[in-house]
Amino acid sequence: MAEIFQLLLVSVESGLVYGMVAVALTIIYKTARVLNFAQGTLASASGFIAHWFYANAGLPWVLAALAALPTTFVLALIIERVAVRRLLRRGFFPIVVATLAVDEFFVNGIEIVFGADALVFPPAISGVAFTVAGVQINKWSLVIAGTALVLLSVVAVIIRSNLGLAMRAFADDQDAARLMGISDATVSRATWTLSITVGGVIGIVLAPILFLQTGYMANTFVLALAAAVLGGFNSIGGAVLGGLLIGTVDVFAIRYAPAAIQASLPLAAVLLILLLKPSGLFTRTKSAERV
Amino acid sequence: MKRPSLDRHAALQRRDLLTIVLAVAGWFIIPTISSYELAITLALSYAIVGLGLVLLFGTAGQLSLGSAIFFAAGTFTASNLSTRLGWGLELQIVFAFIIGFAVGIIVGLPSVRVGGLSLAISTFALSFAGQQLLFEWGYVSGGGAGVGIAPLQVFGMDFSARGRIAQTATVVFAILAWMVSNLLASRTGRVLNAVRTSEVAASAVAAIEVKRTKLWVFGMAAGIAAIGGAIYMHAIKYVNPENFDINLSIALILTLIIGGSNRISGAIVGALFVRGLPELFRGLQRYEGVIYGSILLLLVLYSPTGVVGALRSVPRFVRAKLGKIPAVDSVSLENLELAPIGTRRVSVAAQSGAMGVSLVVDNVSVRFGGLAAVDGVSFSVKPAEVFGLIGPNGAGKTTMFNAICGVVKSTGSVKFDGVEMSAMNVEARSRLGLSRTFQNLSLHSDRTVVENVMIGMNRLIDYGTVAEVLRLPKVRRVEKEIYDEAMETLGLVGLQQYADRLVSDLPYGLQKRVEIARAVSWHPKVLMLDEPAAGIPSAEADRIIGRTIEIARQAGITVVLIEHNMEVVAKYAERVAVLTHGRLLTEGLPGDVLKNPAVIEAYLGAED
Repeated sequence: MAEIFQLLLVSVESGLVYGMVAVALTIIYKTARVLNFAQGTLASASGFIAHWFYANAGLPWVLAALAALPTTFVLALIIERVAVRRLLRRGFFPIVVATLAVDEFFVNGIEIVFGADALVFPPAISGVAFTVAGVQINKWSLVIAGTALVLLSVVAVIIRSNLGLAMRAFADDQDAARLMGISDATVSRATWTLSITVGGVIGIVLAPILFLQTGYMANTFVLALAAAVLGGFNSIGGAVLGGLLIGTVDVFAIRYAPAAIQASLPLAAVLLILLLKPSGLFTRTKSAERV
Repeated sequence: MKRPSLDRHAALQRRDLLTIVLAVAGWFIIPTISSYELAITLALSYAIVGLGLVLLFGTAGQLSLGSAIFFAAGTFTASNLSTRLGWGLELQIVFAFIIGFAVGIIVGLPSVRVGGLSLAISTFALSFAGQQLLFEWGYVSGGGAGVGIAPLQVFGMDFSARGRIAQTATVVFAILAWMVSNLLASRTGRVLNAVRTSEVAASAVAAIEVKRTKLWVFGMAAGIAAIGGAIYMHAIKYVNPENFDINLSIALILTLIIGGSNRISGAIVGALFVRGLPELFRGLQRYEGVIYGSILLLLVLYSPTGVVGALRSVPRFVRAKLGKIPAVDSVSLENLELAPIGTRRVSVAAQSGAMGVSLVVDNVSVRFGGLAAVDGVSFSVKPAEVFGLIGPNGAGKTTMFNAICGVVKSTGSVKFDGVEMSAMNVEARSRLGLSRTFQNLSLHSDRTVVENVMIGMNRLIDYGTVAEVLRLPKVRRVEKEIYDEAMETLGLVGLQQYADRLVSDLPYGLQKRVEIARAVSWHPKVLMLDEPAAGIPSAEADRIIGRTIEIARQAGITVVLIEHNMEVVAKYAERVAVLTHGRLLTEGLPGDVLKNPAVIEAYLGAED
């Protein structure tokens, strides 16, 4: 019983993480109709930057993490301007290919700048926070879950702001939004920087528990992608629910499923959803579109 | 009037024969640079995969991130056949293709249906799952320990000497490139392109089975990737499942995109660029990802057709500057001779059944959510009649057309020559003899004018895929006939002199005419024209519609015409039906209907 309880707690923690990266993917998908294949790699870049501020600039953990955020933000601005903006009206393949190019660039770039060896990035606080029903809960797990929840509320507030309104108008009908005087440059800049920064925050808080090495966010990215698919790439809530579901499937699969299919289970879920209900689990099916 | 001849025909340029000649030349060059054998063979294995992706991604527009699975299928097929059964490369290739094709169909069956970005995501997920499966299937893959391969043998001869493997790989590449180029230059190339550029036109006008086509090309690309995998195995001689991760899948597609995804030369140029350059500049290997990422980004931004596209645009640019590419002028429709549509294939096909037939629409409704765009409409069109369908904007005229040809779901009954069509899909309805044009242009924009007409005539092609791959004499003959008859049809709308121009180079009015030519090219029994002259000055519009109806009358084709211009409708339609708010307002002779106060009110608003 205690084991199930513990697995459930771990599921919630990783579920929130996958959910937030899924939110980041969904924000971009909603407005640009593309998948950002560089999301995981860019999140890991933030982790490395935070580590650099911590280890090389000698900042305390929290300050290092905070210093990494504006850096990520500027990076996102540059990526949007260079790789996305000019492709906005060319359909989705060019932007998808551009994100793959950005991914190639950063995987290698991170290795050049920070080296290929795993770096040590101890958590700011460690140890057991408290014990519930015989299950120990780590302080850092609380930090991760708490950060995810704070991030979720920040995103929710932004989505409800004027900027968010413009983003949603754009997501509904790009041409109509342009006619209403909403600039696609503004919307594009806002969505990509928001999305990449959200991913970056997750990348930073996960760095201490994963080996800080190129590609340390790859697995998180894949499971977050699964979560976003489950959520139908449609709403923040759907993405978070999808994350929790994928987190649970993943955690329980690792414990109970045969080794051969462990890693495939969440992906099998994705395939099933894509095939049976491409609009996601938590979306009401829209009416037929006009030709 | 200068008329392009078949030997200058743009489709034949798609064969990139120079690429194949250069690949054959590789046989003689390789022994002099055999220290690069490994790099050359690896590049060729990538290039072979690229050939399949030219069909799947470059032509049919399906982005797959699962190539590593099929590549691996070929690798382990070759390994097991050589070590366990002692079979030579020729059989390894055949079986790699068969197994790759089969795996492709199994993977493709569910995922091709979703298409677009979902296909990219599901193949991305499959690439992960497939690798894990490989790790677990130790008998075939050797698990974490990996497997090797027996020395290269072809038809019982030993080819394992230095340089021989790369030479063999060039031959395999050259043969496959020739085969793929044959496909690109004839029916398959047109069909795959049609599916990418306009699914609705491909199915509703050319009766192309879109889903089957996508599945087929997915299987073909998988089979060809597997052949690449077999060659790869001979290059590196020892692999384990670790090599076949998602990064390989991504590298394979990006390699092609760098080269240029719409031509076979893109496959080899991309592969040499990505696999060959690092060999020449070993000092830069450390920066590979940064360099390729930047190059890829530059290409996406400035040359979507890759390095080959960039190189090809130079002579075109120069010729345009020198004025060698004449501007497209408008073409007068006056004094054009009226001739039958097609004289051989088309007319034979047309005579196999009744000419114009009846079309009976009974109580048809179309709902978008809660809104009834078409609400219980009934009318019947007599054989060989010109029937006008009019009504104000938003009355549901185009939706009615879409319901008749099956593009939107509807309730009620649609009978074509007495045959109930409502359970049929778009392709099946078109196969019966239904053709149409679109209100918003729906052309295959990166193909030539004549190719757009040839895609309309797709159903008249009677050679098989094997004949096409080998470009047998029959294929050449049929292609020439189809080309000639497409040219005759273009003559009916005065576009022969622009036959080999890209359809997107033409001004809007002439593109409208290409649509009409495509719609009538195969001699349909019922032709539905959705505002064929929308956006064209009215005198010209009158002439285009007049011309189209002249062609149809002369061929005995039933016409249903949606048109805003009342005078035009009154002039050409024998009977008209009026739709408002999705309902049938009235039906009858044009003279009576246009005087009907209810119709005038619907058009102009109520008089106070």
